[in-house]
Amino acid sequence: MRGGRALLLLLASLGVTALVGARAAAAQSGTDLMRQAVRAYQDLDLDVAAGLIRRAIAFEGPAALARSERATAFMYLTTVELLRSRPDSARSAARRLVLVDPRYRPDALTFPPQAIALFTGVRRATPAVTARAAADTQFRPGGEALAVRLYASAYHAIRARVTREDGRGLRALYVGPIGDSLDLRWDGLDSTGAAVPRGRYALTVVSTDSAGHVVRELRLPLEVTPVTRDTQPLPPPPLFRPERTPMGPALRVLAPATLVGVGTVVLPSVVAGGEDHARGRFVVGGAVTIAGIAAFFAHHPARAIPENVAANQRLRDQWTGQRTQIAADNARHRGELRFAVKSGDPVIITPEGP
Amino acid sequence: MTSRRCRDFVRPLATLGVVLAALPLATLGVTAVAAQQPLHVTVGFEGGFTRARSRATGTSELVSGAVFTGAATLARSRWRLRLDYGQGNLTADTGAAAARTLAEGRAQLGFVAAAWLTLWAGPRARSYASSGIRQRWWFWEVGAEARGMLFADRSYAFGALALAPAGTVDALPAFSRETGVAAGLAVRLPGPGPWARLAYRVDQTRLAGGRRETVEAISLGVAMELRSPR
Repeated sequence: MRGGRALLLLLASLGVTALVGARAAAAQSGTDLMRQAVRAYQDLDLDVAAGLIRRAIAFEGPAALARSERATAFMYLTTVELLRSRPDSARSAARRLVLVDPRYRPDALTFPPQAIALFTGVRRATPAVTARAAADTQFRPGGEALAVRLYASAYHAIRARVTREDGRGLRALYVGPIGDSLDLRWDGLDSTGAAVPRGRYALTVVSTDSAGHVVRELRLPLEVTPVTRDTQPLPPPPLFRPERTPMGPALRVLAPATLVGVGTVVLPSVVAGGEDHARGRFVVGGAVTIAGIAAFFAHHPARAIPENVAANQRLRDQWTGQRTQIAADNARHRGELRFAVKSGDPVIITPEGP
Repeated sequence: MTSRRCRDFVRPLATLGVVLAALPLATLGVTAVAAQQPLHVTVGFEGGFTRARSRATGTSELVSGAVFTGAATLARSRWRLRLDYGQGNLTADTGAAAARTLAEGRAQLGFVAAAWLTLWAGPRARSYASSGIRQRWWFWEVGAEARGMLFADRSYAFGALALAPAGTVDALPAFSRETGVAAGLAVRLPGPGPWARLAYRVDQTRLAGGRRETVEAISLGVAMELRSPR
């Protein structure tokens, strides 16, 4: 009875341990494995290092190695296989490295010279290109162009063309050799000179060997969408200065004077009705009203301000010129076809295998 | 005769004197919170032609003459206190009327409700003396005075309305009400000189039994701001 309970506890603890271990393993990423592999490589535990590197490279999805990490992993694998005296495996790893990143150059402080030499030999013998283009760009077909830069692993011959999604050729862009890099420009037209319709296309670069055989093919996906260029809004009218002095201040002095003047004549009959009031009140009321009229004109109501008139004329001319210019630009842009091109990640295909 | 006339002036204004003494104290109390504000004093003098008409059933008397008035205004923060006193001899313009001496004083407290509007309240006293007979008028008056600037700091027009809902009159029927209006023009003389004021005012007191006492005046005066006594 006691022995059975101990066995049960042992099994339970083993189950928990297995579960936690499995979860921990599952939680590892390619980067984690590469860190362990580098540690094993530095401890000269080459078999373990090779296994860890292969597992790290095999990761996919979010846990996969980044492009640069993947290239470094292949370089470590090349080195490990070389040190394990497996040159074929080393060359295979080096070849895959070239296809991952034809521009890759190993760090001489990290990798031994014989590994670098092996990689360099493989790179020269493995013609491949990669392409880099702006992820999202706009241009006017026929006038402007999409710029794509090609990077080569080694000097070799290439044929570059724009193809439809199904691979049918649309426009040849370049045929000839490539050294380190090459700039290509596609103006959005097909071989007949017509703008291509909306759709998915690809820049296809075929690498050939000295005998003219296709050894590699690069496909850079391009999604072309015609767009209408935004028109600029017309500028709002500028803030003009007042061209005449305001009436308000003048009226504000005239009004009370008029009220007092009229009040002097009228109010006595209201507050003290039934009397023959002194005519002298007309003198007072008249004096106040006349003073108000004088003050009204002293404020120069609605008088032209020449400086402001001139300044406004300059502003008006400038504003009219801007409006005319922008209206003309907008009219031109409205009739203009433009392409928005989105480029995807380049894919290298090896027809015969690496 | 002269001493009697003097007594006639002095007695009706004794009450006003008490008020004149009390109002500054009240003003100082009210303005205690504004004690840090400077006190501005304006004094003035004006002379004018005054016409007084008394109408009762079937009778009418008209007297007129020159009246000279001295005035002072104390201003602190938004509060004002104005004190004035005027005196003159009015001669008969109609046959039934008797010449009389007019003495008039006012002590009113004002509040500047807006830059253009001041509200006033306080007593006004008037005394007529004629042939040893003295008649005292006493009004409790409220009023509003509005100003409209014509030339900045050089000239303004003003108008005022006043109402006395309560008052007493010696030897006459019961006081009913008094209404008054004043208007005019003030101009600052060249430089930072005194203000010259041309004004017209009229007030009418109605007594029980339909009796009306109307006083009109057209005056010309000067007023000068004094330095703050602080």
